[in-house]
Amino acid sequence: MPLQVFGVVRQGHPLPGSGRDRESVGVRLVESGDLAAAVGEIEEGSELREEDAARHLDILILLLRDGPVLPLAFGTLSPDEDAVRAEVLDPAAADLAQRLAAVDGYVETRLEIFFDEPTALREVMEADPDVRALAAETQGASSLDARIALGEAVSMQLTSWRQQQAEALLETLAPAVEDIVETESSEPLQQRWAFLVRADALERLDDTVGRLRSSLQNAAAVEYVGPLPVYSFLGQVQADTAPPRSNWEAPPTRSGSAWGW
Amino acid sequence: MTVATQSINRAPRPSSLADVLEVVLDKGIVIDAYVRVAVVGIELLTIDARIVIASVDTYLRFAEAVNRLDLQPDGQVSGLPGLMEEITEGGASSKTKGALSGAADKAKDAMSSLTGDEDEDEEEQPRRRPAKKTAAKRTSSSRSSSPRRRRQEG
Repeated sequence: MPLQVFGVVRQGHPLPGSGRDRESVGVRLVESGDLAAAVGEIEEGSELREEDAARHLDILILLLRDGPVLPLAFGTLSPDEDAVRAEVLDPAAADLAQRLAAVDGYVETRLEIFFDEPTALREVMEADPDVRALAAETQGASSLDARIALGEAVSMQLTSWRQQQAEALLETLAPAVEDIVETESSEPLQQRWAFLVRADALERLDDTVGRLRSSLQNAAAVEYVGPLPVYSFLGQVQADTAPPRSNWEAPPTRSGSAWGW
Repeated sequence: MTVATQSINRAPRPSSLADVLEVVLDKGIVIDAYVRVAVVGIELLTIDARIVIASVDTYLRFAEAVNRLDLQPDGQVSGLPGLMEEITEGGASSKTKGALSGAADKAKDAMSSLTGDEDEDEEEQPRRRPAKKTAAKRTSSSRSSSPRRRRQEG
């Protein structure tokens, strides 16, 4: 039966779940040398769906509790265990071990701040006479084109308003994290960050986010997620440790990705 | 005390499936040797279209919201514009309902609210025609510029 490969861990890494749960999680380790791949069986010819993506992430999150995890791309399949050893673990064993060491002790968290729209709209409109004039012009009697144009102009103003707010918030957050990646959003009022955090300093970030949340109160909705595998910092980990080049590549940054995000 | 706050503060993983997909899809270490990557049963086109539709829907929502703000300069809300405002108020409020459901950020919602808008436009067309010419002239160029899709994340 084909195997779905979730991630790479160290040999002897505890299986995800505890006690009796372990069997139901349906994950086992394929080990080779110092390394192991977390795999699960998958029906021949079956398609992966959104629920499988959620399961993929859940498994990696469970694994992360007990030590470093390198997430593999969702949908990585192998015909059997031998292929996992021969094609995933063995060819880049040194590189993988080095990467595991580099991410050891680090986790990723995500912070999403959705600023209150009525507040932002009012501030932007009061500050920008041009958009105000455009709004007055299209008031009540506009074509779809005109309304989209107005909305786009407003959207751009909201984006820069949000960026200003975010800059101020980042000053508070930055001292509590090792690194920051900003994640784009299609919503102008949505600010999203991924943070690289030392696992033992997570509490400090929690406190910071907690303070930030209470200072924002109703001015924004805050979603704070983690700890996740260091998805957003795989490239940087590589740069820091300068492992030997191999046939392993972190996913390239593609601005025109077919996924669109 | 802090511990209790923390557990409420931080979620183990994103609450919505869309956010989960964003974490997982197109991320992680890719093996380009012999292990193949399965074709995922999530249609690429749907996801691509979702972004574009969401942007247009967002623009329309902002346009409505701004018009509700009542910030127009003094002296302009009289005569014909004022009259137009009254006439279209009914249409605008039903549209707002559709746009708000689109804000739920789900592709289906966005899609249906956009479709809803188009239907309403057809119905309202005769009433809107008088002002359409000027508005269209001003904005015809902006239509062609597609909503920007950027990506910074590595």
